[in-house]
This record gives sequence, structure tokens and C-alpha cells, in this order.
Amino acid sequence: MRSLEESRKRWQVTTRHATSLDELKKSVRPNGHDSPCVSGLRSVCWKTFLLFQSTEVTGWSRVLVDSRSAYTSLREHLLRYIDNPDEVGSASDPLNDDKSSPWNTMRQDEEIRAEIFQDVERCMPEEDYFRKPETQKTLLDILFVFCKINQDVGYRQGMHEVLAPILWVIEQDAIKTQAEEMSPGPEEDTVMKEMLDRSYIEHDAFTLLSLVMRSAKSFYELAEPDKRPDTSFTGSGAPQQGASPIVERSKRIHEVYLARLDPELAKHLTDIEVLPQIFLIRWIRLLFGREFPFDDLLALWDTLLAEDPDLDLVDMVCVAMLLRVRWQLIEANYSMALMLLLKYPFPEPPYGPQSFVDDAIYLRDNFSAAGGARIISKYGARPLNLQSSDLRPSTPLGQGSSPKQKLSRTRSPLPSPASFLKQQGGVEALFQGAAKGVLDRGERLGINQAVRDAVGEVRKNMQGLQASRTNSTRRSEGMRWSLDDGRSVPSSSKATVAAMNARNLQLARMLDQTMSDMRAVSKEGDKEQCVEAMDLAVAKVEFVKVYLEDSTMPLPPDSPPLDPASPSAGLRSPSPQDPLQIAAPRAPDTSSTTPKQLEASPALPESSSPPQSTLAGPEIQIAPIPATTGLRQDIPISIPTIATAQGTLARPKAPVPTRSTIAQSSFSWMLESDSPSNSPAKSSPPKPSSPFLKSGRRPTSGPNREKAAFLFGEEGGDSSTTSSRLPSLSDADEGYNMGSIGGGKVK
Amino acid sequence: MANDEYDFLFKVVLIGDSGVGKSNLLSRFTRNEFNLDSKSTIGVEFATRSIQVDQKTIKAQIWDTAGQERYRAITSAYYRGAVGALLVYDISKHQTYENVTRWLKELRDNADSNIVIMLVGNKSDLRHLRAVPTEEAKQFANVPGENNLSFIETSALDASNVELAFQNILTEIYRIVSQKALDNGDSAQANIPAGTGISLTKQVDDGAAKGGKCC
Repeated sequence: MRSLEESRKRWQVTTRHATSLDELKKSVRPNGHDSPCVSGLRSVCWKTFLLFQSTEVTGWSRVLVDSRSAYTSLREHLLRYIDNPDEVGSASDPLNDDKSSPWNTMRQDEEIRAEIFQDVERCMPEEDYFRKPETQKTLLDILFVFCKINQDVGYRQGMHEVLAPILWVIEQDAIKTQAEEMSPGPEEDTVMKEMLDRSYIEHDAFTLLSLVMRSAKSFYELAEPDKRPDTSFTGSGAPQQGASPIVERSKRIHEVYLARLDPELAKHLTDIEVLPQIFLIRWIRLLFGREFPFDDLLALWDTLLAEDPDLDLVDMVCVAMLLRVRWQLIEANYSMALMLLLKYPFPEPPYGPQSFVDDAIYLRDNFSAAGGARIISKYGARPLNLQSSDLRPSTPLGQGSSPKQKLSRTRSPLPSPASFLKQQGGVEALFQGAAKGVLDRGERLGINQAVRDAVGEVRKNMQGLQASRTNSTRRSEGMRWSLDDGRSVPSSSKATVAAMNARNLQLARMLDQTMSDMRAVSKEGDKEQCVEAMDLAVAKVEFVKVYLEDSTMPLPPDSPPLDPASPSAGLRSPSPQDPLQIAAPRAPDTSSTTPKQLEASPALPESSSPPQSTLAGPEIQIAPIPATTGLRQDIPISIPTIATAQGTLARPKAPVPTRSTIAQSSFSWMLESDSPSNSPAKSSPPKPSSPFLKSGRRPTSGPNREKAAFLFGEEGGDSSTTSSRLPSLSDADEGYNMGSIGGGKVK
Repeated sequence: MANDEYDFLFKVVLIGDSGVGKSNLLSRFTRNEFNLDSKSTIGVEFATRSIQVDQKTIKAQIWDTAGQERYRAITSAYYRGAVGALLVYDISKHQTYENVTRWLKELRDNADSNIVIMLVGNKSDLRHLRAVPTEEAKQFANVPGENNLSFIETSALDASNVELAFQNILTEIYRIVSQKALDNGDSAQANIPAGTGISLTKQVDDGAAKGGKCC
């Protein structure tokens, strides 16, 4: 805490820089004495970046008052019994097992607080400030309140070290005066005194923590919503359902960002089998808190919070850190690399840790191998030779950044990559879930093998089609990158993007249609019809899935000729020229079911349309009657025809806006990652175009090999001694098998 | 690296509740350091130390993780390839002992089924605060047909038994591995000193078969 005099001086320094938000942001970048975070009030800068987001000093006060009173009431509510244990006594019977009993809540809260305190106790042991009981109490209360209002994540180890610097900074800037001195004084002191009022240290720290955690919370999220502490052990034993956001993020940093900026290093890390989450978890969760000395950390946060309060830049900071030790890493084996990354060396002067944020900004704005090479050469003993052949494939992409793209770069508020990825996975999962659900229901209804056969048939045909297709105008590589980072869209790909969007719209329409069909079907009693329609729906969903899996397949034109007169003409005989003719499910039956179908529902269009329209009404905006008649007529016809025909019918309203947006963004990304690369050496099979995409591991580097490596000392084939011990690594896969050990263990 | 010569590399993981002293066991064993004010582990730490058993150099690669990490972002990476586990509890905190069964389940779910497990009651220096009797833990470790764990009490603070704990588990792993190699007889036996990889690779099938018979 400082004296009023000192605070006044610093306040003036800070407000002098705070002519505008941009000016203030700029002023914290050079890490020197000029930074208002150093010679001024760091806490005010952080509050400005995170909370006020404006340099209108007059507006600050209101925001402060609001946030403080919010915390006051939260705290009062959540800490009521903790602070006043006596109050519980009268309220109810302590032995009552009732879940909502205040006694029960208090017991649970005490457990949470004990868990938090275990970390608070060990927080920043080298700083006296954090050894004080008052400080620890403040940390505990803030984390407890945060945990209670963020029950989806709760308290997770590491949050305490996100809070600690925040609390420290606010405490440092608080004014060390008595209450009576605080009230009077010159007019211009009012805002300052309010801002630096030491009775609100805890409140403001909570507010800033919450704002940082808006984005940082995802670093702590668990893979599965039900993987909460209480269920983690009692739940099913199946390990690792889906990766947690932090693992996804780590993978993306390695396999997308680093792979783009320094393909050679990314490949090396893959080769030596260093999993990125092993070191990135700590880097990211603590926002580099353990990697650098405290003062340097604060300076790093200055720039980070100024540049990107949403913390997407964190990913690039990680890449920048990897690039800084690039030459050591590239020569390191598994343990050396891990040692280096888990004990990250202090950067060579004159560049302090803050320079990683500068690098990150540069890399974000020059997202290419060339940009990566610039950063490497800036610090490296030797320049990176970009002409080396293994770098070539990705270099051309980075160079074509027009001024326009630069513009979009600076202003594009990217969706957080994490949510982007999640979304993408979500969409894929959605489809698979849908298809599976339909299959399950079909199973119950008595359809089984037939459906799968039909589905298999569809898929086979699609693959045939796709194989026969030449890889014409696609620029998959460019597409993937452009859609992934949203920054640089090579102009030559624009047409491709547009085409892709149109394609996605079309696919979305099909799905929409199928879904409304399915909803309609599920309300019908007639089993036969259910079965029939379910077949169809499965096939349609499958159809869309197949198209999604391989973006190189041409979609049928938007308005194909609908040919109800020859229902089974094209079944089982799709020709490469006409992708519309896809075998319908249960093809052999169609001729017999068609008449039955028609017989069974002579009056259907009238009778069934009212209920169906209510079903499909609010969510799926299609004209109900055309859709139902379409369904009836379509059953025996080849699927794409139906789907698109219906799409055409329903076009004006069909795509629900939100859905089509998802489709456009995530689909295309997803599709591209599966499409063949445009490298001439590769032929067209739908494989990941980069070794880093998907799980495209080399056969020799499977997890088994890694196991073997751990046991037998092979470490990425680095030294001749170890490799001579293990002449045949691929054979050693089995060598790990602990069956041998277990056999010996039992006497 | 000259000091990187070894005959065997064993990955051993430290698990157990938050605050039982895993990190200090690691630092005591690998660097002979103890820090009363050590920070909570976030993510993963990792250190190595080599020891000698039967004139063989065994390099122990010891992994340490946050106690709360059983709520797992890194479970699979953590247990992958581990041949030994030190399951640590705090003798002065009964809850950490009660949670041992949960950790055993975690091991069953995620680690190799034949991983060598040692139950470690840490903080044995806190005699006046003991909450878990030695005998109780010893019995638990040897429930016939259920748990077959080695057991030891340690103090990272006064260094008692730390060396021994690691020595024991590494030796046990080594015995199992080399036992299998010897059991395998003839050619494999001849190969042990020079080409561990080969002999072990070769004898896996036999080893697995034998294991099946014994169990």
C-alpha cells in the first residue's frame, strides 16, 4: 500500500497515458520505466483493460460501484454461515440429512474451503505478503465465492495462482490512509481514492479474477460434464471419454499453430513424442505464472491483458516460447525436451519475458512459416533456412497477405479457438449421434441389417463416385488455414469458399428436411410406415455424413429433375456422371412397398398434415404441406433427389439461421481437414493432408512404441547407445507388455 | 550425454491426494531436497535419477502430478508406459488414506494391469498427529486376492525410508523384468546384458502365457 502523495503522482502518470484505450494499451507495451504499469498504477491499467474498457474516467466510478456491490451481496449470501456459524444453529436440526439443510450446505462448503485452502497455504511461498493470514483469508474467500458461482468448473488447482498476482497488484496500489483521510480532499482525488480504496481490495480482485476467468475458465474445464469430483471415481471405469478443452487447446497449439509457424519443430515434437499438454497445462492454466519471475510475469500480463483480454493470444505466446528455444528443442530427445519445457529457461537478455507477447502479436499478424522464421532468426544464433524442402509446402500460403486481409486481421474479433473447436466437434458429434439414434430406434422397430446394408451401399457408392472424380479446382490447404484462423483468405480461394458455403447450405437444408421428416414419422402409429420412413431418414443422414466426410464430392445440383415416374430407375446403379442416383435403403423392397404405401395412405396428405405441421412448425421453418406430400411421394425415390427437391420446395424458409451459420463455418473447416491435399505427389484418397491433422501418426510412432520407449530407455532414437540396445523398435511394441512382469510377480 | 547411460528405463508415477507430499518425495529422492513451503503441483512435474541394482543402471523417470489431477486432463498421458506407481497418503490425514481405494480404481482404469504398486504412508515424522495406524495400512496392502501392494512408511522431511521406497519399487520392477528374461531360458538369457530389448521383446509371448498359467 502506498501513501496518498505517492498514489497521486502515480495516478497522474497513469491518466496521462490514458488519453484513449488504444494509447494506454500502446503505452504498456515497451517494458520500461515509461510504462504506466511500472511508474503509474498497474491495477488501474488492468481494471481499464478488463473492466472499464474505456478511459472515460468519469464512467469508472459507476462501474466500480456496481461491481463492488455485486461482490458484496454475493459474499454476504455465500459466506453467511461461514462468517456467522451461530446463525445456522437456530435454523434447523444439525443431524437432519436433508440435502437443503443449511448444516449440510455448510459441511460441503467447509470441504470446498479446506480444499482451496490447501493451495492458498502453498501459494507464492517466497512472498511474505502471501504468508499473512489476512491475505490467505482473502484469497480463500474470493476463490470460494468464485467456485460457488461457477459450479460447472468449481475450484481447480491453479486458479489460486491466477488470483494471486491480481490481488497483489491491487493491494500494492491501495492507499494506505485512515478512513477520515479518505473522504475529504481535492476534487480530482475523488475518483482516485475511490479506485484505490483499500476496503475494496477483495472486491476488485474478485472482479478482475472473474473477468480473466471468463476465458481462462475453459483451461480448467473437464472433459465430461459428469466428471465432477463426486462422480469421478464412482462413475464407469472407462477412462478418457473425450479430451478436455485444455488438451484440445494444447493439441491445436502444437498441430495447427506451431505446425504452421515452424513445421520442422512441430514435426520434431511429434517424432520424439512429447505430448504438448504435458507442459502446456501449467503454462496456460497459470498464464505463465510459474515460468517466469513474479515481476516479469506482471509485465507479461500487462501486455497480454492490454492486447487481448480474451486471452486467445495465450496460444501464440506458447508458440513464441517454443520458438525461442527452438534450436535446443530440435536437438533434444524426449527427456531433454520435457526438462527444458517444464523448466523453461529465462530468456536471454535484453529480451524479458514480456517479449513473448510481442512475438505472439507478431506471429498472430504474420501467421506463416515466414513469420515463424523471422521470430526464430530474431533470437536464434543461426537463421532458419526457409528454402529447405520440408518447409516449402506451407510457405506460399503465408506470403499472400493483402492489405485488406491485414485489415480484417486487426479487427476480426475471432471466436475463441477453443469454442471453435468445440463447436466443430459438436457438429460432427451431432450427426453421428443423430445417425446412431436413428439406428437404435430402427433396431427397436425391427429394422436391422437391412438398414445397415443400405447405408453401406450408399457409402460404397459415394466412395466410388469420389474416387472417379478428378481433383480439379480445390485448394484444400489454403482453405483449411483460412477458415481455421479466419485471417488470411487467399483471394484465389474465395470462389472455393463461396462454393463451400453454398454446399453447406444445401447439406444443412437436407438435414433440416430429414429431421422434420423424422419428427413427423415418430408421431405416426403405423409400424410399417415408421420402418420405411426410418430407413429413408437414416440413409439421408448417412448421405449428408458421407458428403461431409469428403468435401471433394460434388453435391447434386440445387434443383435436380424430380422423377417420380421411375422410382427405382437409378437404384443400385449410380453412375459417376450422375451423383444424384444413390441407392435407396432396402432397394429390393421398394417396388413392393411403393404400392402398399400408396394404398395404406390414400387420404394421408389431408389427414396427416395438420399434426405434422404442428410438429415441425416452430423450429423447422418449412411449409408444412409441401413437405408432407413430398415425404409421401419421395419414399421410393433416390435419396439425394428427394432431399434436394424438398430443399428446393422449402427453400425460402428452410435453413434456420443459426444452423446454417454453424454449418458454414465449422463444416467447411471440418471438411477441408479431410480432403486430399493439393500436393501433386498425393493422389486423392480422403486422408488427412498433413501428418498433424487428425491422428495421422506414423505407424512406427504409435503409443505402443512410446510405452516401449519408457520401459526400455529408447528416447526418440537420439543416441547411438540407446538405439543399439533396441535394434528393432517396432518389434519392441510388444516388449512393453506387462504381461511378462505380471507373470513374474505371481510367485 | 555421458550420464545418460543406463540399462533400463522405468517410468514410475506418484499418485495420491493433494498435499500428501508427492512432490517432496520426488525432490527428496532425485535431488535430496525438501521444501516445507513447496507450491502445489500444477499439471505434471518430472525428474529422473539412476540407481544401481545388480550392477545394472536403472534410470527412474519419476512423474509427479497435482493431486487434484485425478479429475484428469492428462490421465492417459500420465499413466502411459508407467511400470510402477507410488500411491501416497498422509499418515496424519485419515481422509487421504481412505481415498487410497479410489486411487487404486484409477490405476485399474488407466494404468497397465500389471503395474507394480507401492503404498506409501508419508509424513511419518508427524508421530503425534498420526491418524492412520501402520498395522492397518499394512493389512490393507496385503488383502489376499485383492490388494497385493508393497507397503512402506516414509518421511520426505527427515528423509527416512524415501531412498528405500524407491529402491524397493525399482528393484521389484527390475526383478520382474529380468526374472522373465531368465525364465525364458537359453538364447534370451545370453542376450540380457547386451540386448535387453531383444530378449524382452522375444520373450513377451512366453511371458504372457506363463502369467496366464500362474494366475
